[in-house]
Amino acid sequence: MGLTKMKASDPAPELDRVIHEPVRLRIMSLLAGVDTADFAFLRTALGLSKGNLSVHAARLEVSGYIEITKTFEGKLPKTRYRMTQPGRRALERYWESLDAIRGALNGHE
Amino acid sequence: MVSPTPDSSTNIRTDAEQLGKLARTVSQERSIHAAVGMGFGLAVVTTLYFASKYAGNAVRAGAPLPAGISVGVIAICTVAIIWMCTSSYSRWIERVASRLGSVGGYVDGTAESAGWRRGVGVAVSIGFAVSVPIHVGLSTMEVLPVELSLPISAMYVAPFVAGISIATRNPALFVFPLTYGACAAASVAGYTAGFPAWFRPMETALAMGASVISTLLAGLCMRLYTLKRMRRLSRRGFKI
Repeated sequence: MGLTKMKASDPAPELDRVIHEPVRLRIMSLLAGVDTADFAFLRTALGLSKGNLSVHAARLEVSGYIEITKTFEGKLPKTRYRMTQPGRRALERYWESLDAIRGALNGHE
Repeated sequence: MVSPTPDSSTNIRTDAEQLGKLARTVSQERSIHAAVGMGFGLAVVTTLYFASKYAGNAVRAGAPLPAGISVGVIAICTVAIIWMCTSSYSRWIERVASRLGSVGGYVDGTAESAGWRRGVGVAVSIGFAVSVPIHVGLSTMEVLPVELSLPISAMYVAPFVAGISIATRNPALFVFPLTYGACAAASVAGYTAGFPAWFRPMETALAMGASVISTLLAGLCMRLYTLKRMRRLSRRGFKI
């Protein structure tokens, strides 16, 4: 939705609740820049606890925004994360909605 | 319906894009892989050089056991050089470098390379491939004195690695030509003149070794620094 086309009477665009949560937005933003990242990298780079990362990543997986692959390297479990195409589109839509809301707020000032 | 303030939403997007860019930088960083590869190649070539020299001395002195051991080492080095041309070697380097360079976790990204960068890579590779045989040939014919081996090699090794650093977008690789150039400058300035004569042939190998180690350290430091920046960005931002 273009910012200039939005009128005061227009309904404000809805933000994607799944992405809007700060931890999930961080995960999505990071994965948007790479092909795959493992659990340790996401945890280190984002400064998250194991439980926090697992819960939010699982939520993103359920929504189809990321893919989680679990394998074993020797006896060590390896969990890799990859953003899906619907995830990329959803993130793009999220930024567009945020821009539209910002535009609307600026218009009211 | 959630209503972010105009300023916060701008910052969030900037922070999010920055986070993705930093992650991409870490994922495309290959200086540790390059340093591991160069380190292994250097170790093989240096061992081959000294084994050949020792084998010659042992044969001249009529000592069959040391000569036999040296020939065995030469054979192992030859097999290692052949192995370096195979995909199994590439996989091994990838595994070793991943262990060394996966501090803070593993991340993978496709490196995008502009045409001009690939051109730089090809140009410096051709320059390197032409310079090495000329240097070796002139040294064998004793046209070039052994004392000048390091500074002369620096004239083509440093631009080659600097070019590869540009071509592959690995800024940490720049540490290699800088260290190598500094060693060559120290040699030209006479800092190594007082060292014993047997040290001279090793000068180039030592300069290479120092450059490989400094590149490894630079790669690790850069990775840790980028991860720290990402963590700071992640903690600071994303509050709507």
